[in-house]
Amino acid sequence: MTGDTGAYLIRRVLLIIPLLLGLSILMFGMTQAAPGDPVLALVGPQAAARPEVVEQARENFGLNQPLPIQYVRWLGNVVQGDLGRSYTFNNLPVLDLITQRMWGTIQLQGLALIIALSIAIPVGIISATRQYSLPDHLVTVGSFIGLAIPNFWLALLLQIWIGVQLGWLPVLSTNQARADFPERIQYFILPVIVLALPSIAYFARFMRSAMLEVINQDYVTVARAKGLGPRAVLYRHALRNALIPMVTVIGLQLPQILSGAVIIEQIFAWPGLGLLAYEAIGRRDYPVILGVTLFAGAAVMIVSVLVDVVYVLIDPRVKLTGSAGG
Amino acid sequence: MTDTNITRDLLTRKLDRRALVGTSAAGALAVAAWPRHLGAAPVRQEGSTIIIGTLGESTTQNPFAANESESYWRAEMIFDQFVRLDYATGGAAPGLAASWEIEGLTFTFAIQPNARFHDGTDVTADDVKFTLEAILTPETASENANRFAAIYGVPEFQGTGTTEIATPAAGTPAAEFVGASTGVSGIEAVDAKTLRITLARPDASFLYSLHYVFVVPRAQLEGQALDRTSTAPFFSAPIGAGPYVFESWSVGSDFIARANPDYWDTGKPMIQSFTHRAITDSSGIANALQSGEINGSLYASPTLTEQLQAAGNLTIEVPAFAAPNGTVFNCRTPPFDKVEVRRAVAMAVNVDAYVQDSLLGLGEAGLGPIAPALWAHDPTLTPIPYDPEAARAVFEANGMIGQTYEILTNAGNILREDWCIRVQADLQELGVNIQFTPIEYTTVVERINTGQFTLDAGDFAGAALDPNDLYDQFHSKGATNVTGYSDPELDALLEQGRTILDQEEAKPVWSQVQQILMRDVPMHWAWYRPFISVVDNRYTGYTVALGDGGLFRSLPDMTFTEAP
Repeated sequence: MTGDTGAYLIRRVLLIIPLLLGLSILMFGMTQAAPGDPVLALVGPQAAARPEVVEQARENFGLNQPLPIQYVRWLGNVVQGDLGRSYTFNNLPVLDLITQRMWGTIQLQGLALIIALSIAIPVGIISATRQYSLPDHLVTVGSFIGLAIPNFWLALLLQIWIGVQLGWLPVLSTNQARADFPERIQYFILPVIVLALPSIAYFARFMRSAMLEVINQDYVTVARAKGLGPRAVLYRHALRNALIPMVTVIGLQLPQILSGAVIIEQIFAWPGLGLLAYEAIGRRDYPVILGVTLFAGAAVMIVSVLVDVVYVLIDPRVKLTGSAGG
Repeated sequence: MTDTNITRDLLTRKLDRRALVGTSAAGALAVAAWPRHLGAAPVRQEGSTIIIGTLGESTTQNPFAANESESYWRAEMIFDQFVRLDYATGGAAPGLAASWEIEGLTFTFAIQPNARFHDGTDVTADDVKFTLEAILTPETASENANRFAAIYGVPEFQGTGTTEIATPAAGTPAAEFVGASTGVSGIEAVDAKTLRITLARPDASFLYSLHYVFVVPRAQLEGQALDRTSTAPFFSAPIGAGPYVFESWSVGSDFIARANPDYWDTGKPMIQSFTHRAITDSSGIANALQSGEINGSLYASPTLTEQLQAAGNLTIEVPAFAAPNGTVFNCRTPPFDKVEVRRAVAMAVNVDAYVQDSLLGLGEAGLGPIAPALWAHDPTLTPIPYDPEAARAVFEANGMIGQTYEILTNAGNILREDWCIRVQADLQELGVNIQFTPIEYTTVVERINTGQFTLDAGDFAGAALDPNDLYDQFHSKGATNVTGYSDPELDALLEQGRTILDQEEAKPVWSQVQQILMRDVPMHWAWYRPFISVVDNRYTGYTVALGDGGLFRSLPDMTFTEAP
């Protein structure tokens, strides 16, 4: 890694701070600008028409303060690692809620990603090296089907078929957190299938085109001309280079791992971050909405820096010297 | 086998039958050893458990902050209620208060002698006094504080004024009434197990309201903040005197509680533990019920009931209706300030078609502000007829043809959205345009409270269980009178109604109240929402009850029998 690259990365990391600040102001403004008064929902239907109770509750939540003061107070706490307390999740600290839910989401999405890649990469290679063969056509058609199937529909179908009718696997995954290892696997199978299927299709298509692009390059022809065997050409020369653009694609998918798959978590009652965000929005739980957004935003920014680092590591030709914004 | 293991095995459907047979045999032995003259022996079912899944999740474990069905139901299970509701009569039934005597405006309660909190301490009159005063403390911001406003000394306690004493004829306490020296003077702990409450004015709802009193131990909470934002450790591991003891809660997923072995109602609960699971997808709930991963659910959607019925392993119960829905009119805005116009809107809508199409026959067409199942309902009421031609004549006479009026509802409530669409379609047919605005719940509340609406499909008017709800809603000085309706005759009747404690004596008054409201139609009480409960056939002993928690209110009475 050159000095230029190092300086670039430091700039990128430092840039995360103003970006997060901007994000927090934007999110704070947006939650406040949304119509409706969250205090009315918090006090309950019996009290919503009673101003004395509503105003008291507003004071208890600190929502009677002017907006800039609310924001500065919140920010001051965030800097100290305190994301505040939720309004509607038993008053729990937001940070506790995020850390509780985070692992469930990372495990589920991480597993789906690993499985998707370990199927999609070989499938993409086979498809590219046997272009226009029957397997290639099957992969192409299969990919389109995989991308076209709505995942909520597939999830419900699998629940009814495998969970209810055949009784092989649990319909809900709530228990996964309490289950021990071998038994725990069963809770992952259905949601992982649903999550991995479109990814397999997407990655396989991408792998195929990346591979096709590489095997038509001059250096591959040179390698063949040198008399290298087809395997050596494929794995030592073509594959390595075809995997570089895959890093970008995988990098783009990583933020989703942290923000969660809202619909799939909802259908399988998988307590993850996506479900947390969904519930918090429905209940107008400002501290949780802000906490989750800030967390997801930070994750996206950190991941994009990491992807750049990986690029430098795997491809010696890449030097990161552009201005931090570009 | 531990409880958790059994829960897990039930879930994975690898239940070891021998383990269950073993415990039933032990149960049978216990019965054999029980002295015959004591009647049937209470049999606890070792290892039995139930998993209840609901769409909604409780938002708090703080009983003072509870304001939705899930939180109220859990509060009942953990804390118990001071007084319970008897669903057969709508009256009060013993809870932590074993019995009471009423003398004028003074209520003397005897507390269950063997009631103890989960930490082993006695439930005393002092704890009940503390709990009531906590609800009344303004800083608590409890939605139930106003229910206890009639207690002597409340204005002084809240710092809002001095107690106004009712006319002597109503049985006023003596002018020299002193009462308790601390807190609310009208709430006195006479001795450890006797509580005396004195009212400043007659309040027919008072006993009913006591079912919102979830008794907490004073020793644990004295001096702590009690509102929803309280960080008191008590609220993350609450201690009550209820049938179930809190075990754990991973918020947004599973709440687990186990049976209280020292429950005052000896022998109950039978089922040894329960899990309340939040499942935010209604199809997920239906599938999990069929696969047996959850054993019961509340508030199932009517569209899923056919599928659930076909499953064969489930019982579907629809409790008597208590929640009237329909069209709320803003009686201040023309042309809806005219009775004939409001009545015409009601006549224009085909309610029976709505009940069939949207409630799939599980709900019922409405008949007035007090549902037929409730004691105060007047059986002589006749529904507003479906008569589109008569309605059209009224609309024409009032220049409403071609005009547009807005109907509001909270977005996401499918049954109410359906109702709005039905109103829209049926009125359009007659030449009156309806603009349907589904908006977020709190925006509806804001607009309704400030009178910025024309029509609304909500539940802002109509008695849930207690007819006295109508006082706040339709008295011209009612705190939640959103329709702006006002009628001196009705005002007088509502004032009278809430002073009569005896149901039989009060019925004629409520009958007149209903006649007036059906005549003047400030709201078209068009349909009753069905609260559908679903339970696995192996569970029995429940009561199909109205209100929060549905049939799982009677969880302490329920038993589990493995299918033969």
